[in-house]
Amino acid sequence: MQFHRMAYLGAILAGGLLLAACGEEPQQEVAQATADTGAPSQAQAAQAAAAEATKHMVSGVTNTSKPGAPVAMWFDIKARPSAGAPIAIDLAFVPQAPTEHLRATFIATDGLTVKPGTAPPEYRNVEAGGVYRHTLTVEPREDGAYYVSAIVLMETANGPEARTFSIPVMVGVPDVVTKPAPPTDASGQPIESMPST
Amino acid sequence: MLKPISLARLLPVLAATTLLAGCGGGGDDGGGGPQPGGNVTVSGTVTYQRVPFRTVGLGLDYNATVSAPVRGAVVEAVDSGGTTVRATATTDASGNYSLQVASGRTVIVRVKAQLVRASAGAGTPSWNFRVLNNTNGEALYALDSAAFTTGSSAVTTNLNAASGWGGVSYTGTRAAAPFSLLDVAYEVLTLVQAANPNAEFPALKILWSTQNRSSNNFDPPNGNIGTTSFLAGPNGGVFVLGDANVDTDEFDQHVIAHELGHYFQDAFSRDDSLGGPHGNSDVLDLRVAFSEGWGNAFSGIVKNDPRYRDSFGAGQASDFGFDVESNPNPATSRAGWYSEASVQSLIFDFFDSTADTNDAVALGFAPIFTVMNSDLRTLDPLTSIFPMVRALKARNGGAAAGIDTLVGAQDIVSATIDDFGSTESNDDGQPLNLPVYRALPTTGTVVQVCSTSASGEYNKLGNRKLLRFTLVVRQSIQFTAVGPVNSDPDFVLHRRGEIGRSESESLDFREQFTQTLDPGSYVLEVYDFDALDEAPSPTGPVCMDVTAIVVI
Repeated sequence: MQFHRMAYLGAILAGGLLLAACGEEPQQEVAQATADTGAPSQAQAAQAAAAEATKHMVSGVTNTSKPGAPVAMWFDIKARPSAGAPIAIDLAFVPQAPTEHLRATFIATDGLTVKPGTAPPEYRNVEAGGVYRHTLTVEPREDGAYYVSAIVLMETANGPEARTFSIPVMVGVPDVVTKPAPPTDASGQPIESMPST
Repeated sequence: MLKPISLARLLPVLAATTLLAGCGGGGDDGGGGPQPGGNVTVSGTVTYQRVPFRTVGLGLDYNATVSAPVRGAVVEAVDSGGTTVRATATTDASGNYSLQVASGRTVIVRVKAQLVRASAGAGTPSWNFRVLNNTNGEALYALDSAAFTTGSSAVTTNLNAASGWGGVSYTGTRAAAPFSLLDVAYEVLTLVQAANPNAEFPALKILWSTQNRSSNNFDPPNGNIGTTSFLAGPNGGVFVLGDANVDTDEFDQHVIAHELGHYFQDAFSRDDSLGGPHGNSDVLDLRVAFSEGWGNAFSGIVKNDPRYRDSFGAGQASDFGFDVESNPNPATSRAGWYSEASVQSLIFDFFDSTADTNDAVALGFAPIFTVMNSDLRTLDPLTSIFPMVRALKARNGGAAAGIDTLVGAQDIVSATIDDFGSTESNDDGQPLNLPVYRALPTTGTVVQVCSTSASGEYNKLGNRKLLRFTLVVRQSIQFTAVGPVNSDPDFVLHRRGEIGRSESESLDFREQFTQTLDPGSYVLEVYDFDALDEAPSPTGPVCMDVTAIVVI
């Protein structure tokens, strides 16, 4: 027996790590639905099959508190990133609800370029629990810590919904920068001064 | 048909002019040497550039930026060295301030992104809302004027916090952002004060940075905040995204009000939510549906605007959202007690005075505050739409029939509703989803529950099963759950909030714990951990035999 309290943060992070689902092919990975409550449901079977396929990938799910699109994203950086060399990032989008349309756009932090060449991922007649794969190529200019953000949009029964994810890309050994402590006011409160205009 | 205007609706407006009226604070006491000219008045108006939304779907409209007052904020006259405060004041509802500063003094006017009032005893509750930079040592954002030397006559010093937008991207300091965030806190403060002038507000940090991005880890000093969210506890607060061209939320005031709705629950009510991913399309655990539906409705109430909008993308030029006034149709969507869309539409309709389909209820906020504060906080069931509706009807008998109509239209049984939803008949097409709570005898009788992930995992309907029992004397109770091979049953015990948890890694598909409990009503939550984590899910419902028995 063990007792402990799970921090709210833990719940949030867990929520971000629990939506595993993926498969070997982009579409048609949803199992047949059953009406029998003792048999696998469509979602359950899809989740079981998909989880196996994403077991080597990392969850990019982040939006756990403000409302967002019912979709998870997993990623896998295949090779060790190095400056000046293209980096392939395998992505798997796993919608949790069916949708007529799912698409994603990407943006990278300064110093990391999203390489053109493949159209942004866009899928029609998306099924819940299905797996929709895409390979993204980015290229870092130099060593450093970078992020690629993915903005995923879904058309749902309640209208369009979005969710954002980020993928950390560490190239080389990023410099550790020690930030100077901010100045404090008379009460000891650190202050970040901004100019009035 | 228009509904009568509720007096309660007007109270926030009245309160804005009475409860948070700005004032001149302490004047310069002349410290630091003789100041032969006496004090002079330094006054002005503080504004921030507020960026509104374009047409739905098109995100923020920087070309339509408006100058909005900084309301209720701390203003100081500070020696130009930045450390000695010579006078303090608070901006009023129009952003005006007035300070008394010794003549001949070189000072700056500093406006802190802070709403603060120290308690002065009964009838003067305290608050302290601060907007801090979590990537800069939790520094408090402050807007500073240029330094000037006071003369012998009054000085006008107006301050403005600019958005930093340079036409196609941010090119300057995003000084408006902290004050846009603070203004939502001001509106929440005003709303709650109107409902209960004695409400005591726990201190709240709102943590925003231009480096705050979506992430799958939580490392606020480096900008990894997960997403915009509220975290309870001493190291918590409202964390807000500021990632330009991806997702910024400083001008998405409904998003901020939603998170402040969670702060409200933590401060004035109770929230048993699990957290986790959610949206209007999801079929959720009843606690999550209630908490997030509450947050969405609260955002509409605070902003007096039912349209929730969340900008994102390049140039913040896209957005998505929903209308909490819109009532899900059970014929075309999965409306019910497990839907945050249903919950938000109900709570907003309880509040608002705009008539729409099935809506003849216009209670205003005060009755809702009372139920959240007085009933939900102390009731035995987990927080959900069931006790809210039951209590709201009980306290507002004249509106009960109208409430029944509204609630019934969301496919929730209302006429006979009780705190545990024991008369509920909507199972979302899955018989395992009812009853909402099963009775758990403390005699060793086996009760079978089945955890499912048919609607998704972690925080979705069916993942976690609820049982309830009541003790009339203090007793030690042994709880046991036995599941099938490869299952991992776990427990959470609740009594008006979580009081215990047992989630050992079962080797024999069996979980057991014993706890001595005082008299009272308890809820035992049972789930199969394997159905909730990232590992492959079971292919069918996981049914577990649960027992509770008194032990010596």
